[in-house]
Amino acid sequence: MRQIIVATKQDRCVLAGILIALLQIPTIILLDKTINGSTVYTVVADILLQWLGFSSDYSPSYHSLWPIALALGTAIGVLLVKKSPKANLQLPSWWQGFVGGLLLMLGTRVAGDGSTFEELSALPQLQSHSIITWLFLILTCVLASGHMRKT
Amino acid sequence: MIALVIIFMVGIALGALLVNSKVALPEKMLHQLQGQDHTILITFLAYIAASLCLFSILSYTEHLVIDAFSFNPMQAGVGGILMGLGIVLCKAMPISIIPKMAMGYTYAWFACGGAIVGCMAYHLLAKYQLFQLATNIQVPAMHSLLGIPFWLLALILATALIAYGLLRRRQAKSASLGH
Repeated sequence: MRQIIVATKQDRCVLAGILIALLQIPTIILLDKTINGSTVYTVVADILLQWLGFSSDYSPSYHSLWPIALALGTAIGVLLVKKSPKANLQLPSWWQGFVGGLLLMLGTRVAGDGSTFEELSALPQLQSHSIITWLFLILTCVLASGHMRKT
Repeated sequence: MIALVIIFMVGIALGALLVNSKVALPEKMLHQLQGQDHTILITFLAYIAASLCLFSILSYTEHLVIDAFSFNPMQAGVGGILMGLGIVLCKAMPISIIPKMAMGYTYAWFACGGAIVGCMAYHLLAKYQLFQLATNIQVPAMHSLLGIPFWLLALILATALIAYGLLRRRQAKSASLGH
């Protein structure tokens, strides 16, 4: 009986995936937007560009602030269930983090053709460009991680 | 304002879920890339199946409309390659950078800085149309190509994913019991 009640590690992953999908209901109803992790960087970059005088088309509005609210909430959610970083883990160096982040968001903007490619929600909406992007993304991950393991 | 508070609370739930499911932990991405642990893949497939069901319902009730759109296939491919390289280098997806920052991983702060610089770089380079790699093409939505409504196609794909997941679970259980 206990075996039936206690969820396996995979069941917890499945449950988390389902709950993350369900979290989109309030965002779709309230803002007509789906959850994605990229928009917050775009909003912050737009604000910085305007401060630096490179862009004048950005105006902070109710709609543009939701990714910041989501990101702040995410950080607080993590702190509430805080898990300390593992000390013996082989983590990326600072330059790998910086270059990786840069390529990640540059790729997101290129794939989105100016707007931000919604890496999570574009695929279940069966958008053709998201299928192409995900195919190339997975292929690159497989090839690059395989190459890094060899070297 | 109320909407922002609700989105903030959604964020809290999202952060807690990403950490509790261990998807946001850097070792999970490392092991996923090495093919040793499929926590991220399983969570992502469950998310896709649940989202397909959700979007199917929203489309059926006409809360979500999936239209034809124009896109640039070459840019979609190049974007995917750049994102793939970024994931391999910083061992994170855009959605998991902030949880890693909150967990105290220093490199995640640099990844966040890089992500913001990446957006700014695109904005500046796009001015000179450096990323206009090919002409956009108008592509009908996938369900239109197949001649069926979106909700039906999403439901078929969700059912296929759920059936595959249940089959794999049954196989794993049988294997663990020694059948």
